[in-house]
Amino acid sequence: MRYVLGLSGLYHDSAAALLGDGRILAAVQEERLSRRKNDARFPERAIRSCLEQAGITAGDLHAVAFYEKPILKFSRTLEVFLGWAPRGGRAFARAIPDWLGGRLDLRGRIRAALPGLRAECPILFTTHHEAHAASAFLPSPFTEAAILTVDGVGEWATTAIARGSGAGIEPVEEIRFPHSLGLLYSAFTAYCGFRVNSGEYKLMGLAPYGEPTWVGAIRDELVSFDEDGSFRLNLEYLDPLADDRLTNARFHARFGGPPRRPEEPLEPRHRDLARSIQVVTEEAMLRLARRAHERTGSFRLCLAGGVALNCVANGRILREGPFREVWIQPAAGDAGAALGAALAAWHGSLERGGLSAPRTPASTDAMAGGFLGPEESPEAVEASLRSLGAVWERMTPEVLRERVVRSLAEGKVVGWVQGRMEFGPRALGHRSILGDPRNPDMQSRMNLKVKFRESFRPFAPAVLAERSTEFFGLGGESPYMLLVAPVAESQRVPVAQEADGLDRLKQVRSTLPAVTHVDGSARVQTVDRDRNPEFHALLRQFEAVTGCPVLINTSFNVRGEPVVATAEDAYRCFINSRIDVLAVGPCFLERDRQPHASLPRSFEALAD
Amino acid sequence: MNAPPAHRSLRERFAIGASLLPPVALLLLASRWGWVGIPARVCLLAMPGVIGLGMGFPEVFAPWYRGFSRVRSWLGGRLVFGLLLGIHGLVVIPMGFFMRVLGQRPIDGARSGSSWVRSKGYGSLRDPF
Ligand SMILES: [Fe+2]
Repeated sequence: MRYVLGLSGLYHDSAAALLGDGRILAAVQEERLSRRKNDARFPERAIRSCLEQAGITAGDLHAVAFYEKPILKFSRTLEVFLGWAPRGGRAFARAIPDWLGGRLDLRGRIRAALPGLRAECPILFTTHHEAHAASAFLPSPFTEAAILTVDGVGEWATTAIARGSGAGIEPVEEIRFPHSLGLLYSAFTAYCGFRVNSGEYKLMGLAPYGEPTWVGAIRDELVSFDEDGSFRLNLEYLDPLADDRLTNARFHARFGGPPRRPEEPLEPRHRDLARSIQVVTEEAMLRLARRAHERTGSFRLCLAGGVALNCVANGRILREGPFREVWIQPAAGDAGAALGAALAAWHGSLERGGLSAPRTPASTDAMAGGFLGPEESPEAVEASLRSLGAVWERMTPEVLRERVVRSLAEGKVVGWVQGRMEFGPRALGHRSILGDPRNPDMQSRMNLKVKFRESFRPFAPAVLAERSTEFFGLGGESPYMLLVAPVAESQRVPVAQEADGLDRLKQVRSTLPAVTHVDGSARVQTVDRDRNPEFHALLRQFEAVTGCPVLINTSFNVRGEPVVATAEDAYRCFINSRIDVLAVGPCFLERDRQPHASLPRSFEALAD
Repeated sequence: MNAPPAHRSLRERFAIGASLLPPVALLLLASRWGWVGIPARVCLLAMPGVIGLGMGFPEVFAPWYRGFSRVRSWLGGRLVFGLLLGIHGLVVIPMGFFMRVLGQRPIDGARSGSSWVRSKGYGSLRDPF
């Protein structure tokens, strides 16, 4: 078997992915193992995990591919500093040591991290957007497609259109730094008091509570659209070199005051800004999607890049765009680019230095449901629990499911850790916290008491694929929870009088109040037997007992924590939060039988 | 129960010993300027001994070494930051200015018109540039 290792990182979301004869054998984000959210350090743990999962060593690798061209990125960084001068002195003094500290000599760094790597094993470099495009198209079920990749910035490109056909990807055109939809969204994220590169979800979750009152101001002064689908940012309002802030005094004056600090309360203005930038982003993404169709002639679209995690925009592209089918890489951010780099190297032509392998698309896709991470054996799970002093019962899968479903039906919150860990930001039923979506108190209870996060954050429903149309107007499958769709009319409950702001949260809008957003939509995961058999069986059992084929599915972590990876992480999180029941591997644990009231946590907490 | 002492390489022992030099060097300066009564020669002769002391008893001086390393990297970081600010002022700003005079604009800050750039191809996978 020929093995290719793909790597991403050193900016944010480091990851490694391993192919064996072109099949995705493993893919892991560094944060899950290092327990530091959005860990950007070189992905040494993720590399080790991938090699261990495949049972190989570095000496067995046939190629290693990195997701960026470091020297091109460095030269862009220098050019931008020249162009931005006399501003940017502090950013320059902060950025250069990073570059000189090993980001330039990546070949050396990769070889040092892979002792035993054969001298003749090539170390290859894709461009950032090539890696995103490869991660979007090559694992997709399509033989040909338009590819749209949108993020903050790679080397120069911030947005790119390509055409995928067979095993090949041909770049068509791109929009370059500083004109970046990702940077614009991040600027508003930072301005509203959330952390850049991880708080974007919060801004998206806040948007439905606001009014689009700032859309005019954003369109008039901050971003201008061309008829051809491209856009430009007005740099008089932005500071694209300040990683953590991105906005300047003029921006603050125009949008109603200084940036919100994380600990300050959210004002109506922040909700309106969140809604407004969401509206502008959706509009921009729709324009880009139409352009991608025009330039490629394809009716299929593949999406990746951080902005492709905006599931509201994705839903609109699917419903309103020119495409008949859309496939989105579940790890659409930079972690997924590790996989893209490996796939680009595997299928890349010999002249370019690739392995020139042919491609046969899988009937669903090649992502194995996104379950590409490590899994602990039942014995390892029990050994972990024993060392922590936990109290558990070991059960067969059938009995475990029955006990879990009974707990869920009683209104309990369940931690569910089964099988291989997910790759990508969403928990898809292998590292999840589950609850009954029919319970109107569940959203605020799970937000405030279980996950210790903002009360407005929405939860997602996981629904049996075969019954999804009864509950959601999806028009297709959504196995990776990347699409927002309206809750079906038949499930809606009329709201007598619309409340204001965050009070809207408490109003019941459907038969599934805990997963219905204030605008009547939901971020849906459809669960099918082929890709996700254990979780599918659990949903079937819940349906048999309650008649409801839907569960709340949220990632198994608390605020500031990466999703749990191991039984130990899960037990610590279970004890320190208000999760009632934990099902990890074959073990069933109840909160009131545990000897601990709290435990030292296993992660580095990060501020918002 | 005491934890067994960690194994320390010769290099690490030397680093711990060398970290004891700055206080001796300060003493040397103080004696040169007549602030203390110890002859400068004694300070000079004590230096190899101090290094040997650190190398011989690394566990005793390990806390000092950790603190010293923290201060050194903090100071180093500040120094590098200052130096790079200087380079920005003396090199980057004038170069950026001349580029602008010569009509070169690395950042396309135009407010209108299409921003699409035709792609030139991804280039070789072998090249990091
Ligand atoms: Fe990216």
